[in-house]
Amino acid sequence: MRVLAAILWKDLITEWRSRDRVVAMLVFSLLVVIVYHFALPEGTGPDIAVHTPGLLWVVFVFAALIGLNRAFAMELENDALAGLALIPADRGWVFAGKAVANALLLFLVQGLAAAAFGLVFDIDLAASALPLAGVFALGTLGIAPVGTLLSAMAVRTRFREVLLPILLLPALFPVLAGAVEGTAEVLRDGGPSFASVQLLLVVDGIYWIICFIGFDYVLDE
Amino acid sequence: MSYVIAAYGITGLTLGLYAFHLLRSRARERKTLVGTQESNNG
Amino acid sequence: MNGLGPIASRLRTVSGALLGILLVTYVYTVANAPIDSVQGVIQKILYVHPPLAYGAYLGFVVTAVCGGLYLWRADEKWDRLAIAGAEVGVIFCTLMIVTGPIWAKGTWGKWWSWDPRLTVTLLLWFVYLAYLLLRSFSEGGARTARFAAVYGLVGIALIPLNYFVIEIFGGRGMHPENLERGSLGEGMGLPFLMGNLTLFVAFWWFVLARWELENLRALGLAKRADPMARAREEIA
Repeated sequence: MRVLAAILWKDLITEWRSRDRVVAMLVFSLLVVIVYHFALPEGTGPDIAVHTPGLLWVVFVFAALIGLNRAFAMELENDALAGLALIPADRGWVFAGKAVANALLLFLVQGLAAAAFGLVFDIDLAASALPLAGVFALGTLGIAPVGTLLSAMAVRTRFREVLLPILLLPALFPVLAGAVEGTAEVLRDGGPSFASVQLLLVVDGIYWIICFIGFDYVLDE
Repeated sequence: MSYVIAAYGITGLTLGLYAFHLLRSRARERKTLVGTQESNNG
Repeated sequence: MNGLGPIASRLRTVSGALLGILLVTYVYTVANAPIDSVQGVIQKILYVHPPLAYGAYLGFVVTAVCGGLYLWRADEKWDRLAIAGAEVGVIFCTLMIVTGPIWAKGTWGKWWSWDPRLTVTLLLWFVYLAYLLLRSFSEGGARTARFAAVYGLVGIALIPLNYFVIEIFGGRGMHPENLERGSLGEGMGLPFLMGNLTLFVAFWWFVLARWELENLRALGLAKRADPMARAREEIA
């Protein structure tokens, strides 16, 4: 547990000092929103409300990919990856620290990107900010563990930036299905249904367990 | 009928080619393996 | 090859011979199967499509189980069997994804529908395609084997999760639920059984042949890399 806190603290401090990952994720998210405007010229019509959950999660997934690509590249460039592997503790805690840091970054970007989306497409997201934040958090907690695990793998391969989305996207289906459905329910009924919350909780739990164990085999000297 | 022929044709052709590929690669590997052994002996 | 090699090789020979007999019977029974009164002749695609599906899923199970065995035992032969499972699984899965729409076009009138089962299988196909890409994009050796094993286990965990999603949200599937049971008319059971049997045996023949090939490659690589090992072997 102390390892988790130390890694988390280290990642957040590094991010706070440079702010390059959050800025990159944010700028990219805003660009995707602008692409939506080009792609859906009638976007401000009544249809946009129906498509909002899906469009939002596309932005979030892209932002997550941008952030995750850097999660271990940073360590690799500073030759710190071997150091992480040598930490005299269960490597699962190293993973957990990294994954929580990634989740927090993504969650922050989600809030800002959703606000921007609501602003330009004239959708009142603020009215249901709290349940929305809950669904976003649950979705993020599903993306972060698999994303962190696969990012640690992809960083050790050629074409790592290309490989990560190929590895990650098909694995995200259960999370995205639950998150998009949950977001739609919040916007429609004011709160997520039990079914989608239950699905997200189950998927998140299973992902965290698998990735916690699997990470031990991914990190090496 | 053409749909049925297409489905079975694609399946048969693909699996047939794959089997051929496996057998040929295996024969080639065997050959190089024997070759390495001989060169080592000699 | 410590014992398993010769057994696998013999199994492959046996299954190869069995496959020859099965193939002839399969073709004969399918050709002579009665024409479906509702769908017409196109229904005969169902003697090849579901058996391919079993092969596909079996391949992915082989990959995951062997990946797990590799992580546990660190024995490379399991990793090589995992490669075989993934490759054969991807080929069977591809053929299933190709034959399905051919049947759908003739029956439903369109190539593709976002039917839950179809979607989930397509996702699985992408997972194992990614598995093979992961293998070819990394430099090989123990690290690749470990990465692949972990990814294979994530992939197999996705199958129940994806079906869990369908259970909760899906429901309105176009896929005929009862294709496998009950709905087969008079005289259709035998060709269906033969299809399953033939492709089941074919699946194992392919996996064993692919495994053998990978073992030979590894052997050749080791020999080429270290001629001294060969010499030491001779002396001992």
